[in-house]
Amino acid sequence: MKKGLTILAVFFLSLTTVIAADFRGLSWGATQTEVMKTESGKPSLVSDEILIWQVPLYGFNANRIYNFKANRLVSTMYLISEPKDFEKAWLNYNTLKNDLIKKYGKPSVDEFTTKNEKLNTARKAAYFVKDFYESTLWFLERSSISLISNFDQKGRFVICLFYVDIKNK
Amino acid sequence: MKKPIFLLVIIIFTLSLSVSAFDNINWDSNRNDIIKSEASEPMLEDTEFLGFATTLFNKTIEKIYIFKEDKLVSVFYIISEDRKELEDYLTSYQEINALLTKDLGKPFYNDEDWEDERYKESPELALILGDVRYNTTWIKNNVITHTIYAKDLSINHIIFVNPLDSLRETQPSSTENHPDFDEI
Repeated sequence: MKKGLTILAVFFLSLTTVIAADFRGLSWGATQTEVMKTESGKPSLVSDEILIWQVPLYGFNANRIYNFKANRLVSTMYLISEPKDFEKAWLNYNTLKNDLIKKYGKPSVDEFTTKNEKLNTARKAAYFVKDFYESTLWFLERSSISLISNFDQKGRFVICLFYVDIKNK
Repeated sequence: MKKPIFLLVIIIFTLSLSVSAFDNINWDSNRNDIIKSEASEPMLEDTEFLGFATTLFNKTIEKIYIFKEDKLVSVFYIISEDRKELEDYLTSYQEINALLTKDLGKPFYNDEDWEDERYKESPELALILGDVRYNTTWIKNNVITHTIYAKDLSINHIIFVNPLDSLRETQPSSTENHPDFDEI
């Protein structure tokens, strides 16, 4: 009987660990050492609060940024700027957004705005002329996820995908 | 006296046609409609496109119609130029921009995309090296984009015309997960 209970306890424990994965198999609160074990290659930046790796993501060159408070992981971010191919970047961006919806469900907020009113219903045209701001948010049990994209002052398309530990907000 | 007035009317009529040509494309046209509407035989032909050699603003161009399921979806005007001086390409771009502005009004957007600013002081050199791309866009009934850029030291000088409606939201249709799905 005891053995059965132990197996059950181990099963529930592993289940909790699986559910608690918040970002690439890591949970909020992970240490820098635990994060480093999940990455291959050298980080491009190491400090007490930040670890950064340059990684490919959905056809983009991205910075994967881990943010720590007292050696505990509290947020992560993908930062993408200056995609080389303007047309391809549009397709990649939509695939990324579509996959986020597939993974995290219908977003709580999905806003698209333009300065020119004529473009309010023409999302791709707005991107085409760089009058584009989009923010999409998911609120999960343990995390909030934000996908924000727009053009910076130099006309470069910038995408920020931000994961935050809700408890440490 | 009647003849000059008649000629004047014809010229004005022709001009008014050219003014609206970029913004008055019948997007319901199919391949046969386009072949009938063009004065010459197509020089390029495929199920997805038709190409005609013609002139625009006194320049030799290739006019390419793009079709999807036999429905017109896009028109390209490829301006073929062989210039001796690099700066002539930029001059040509500016000249056509001025003519398009006369036809279509003030552009909605005018942009220089600098990928590398090493030769910012010599834009003609930056252009041929692919460091910069110039774009001017008008949004009317259609989206008209005039662009010049280089790839492999070859200049591409093109006017793209797309219907505004076709640029509305299109979601990727693939049901398979992207290889990076676990990274997000």
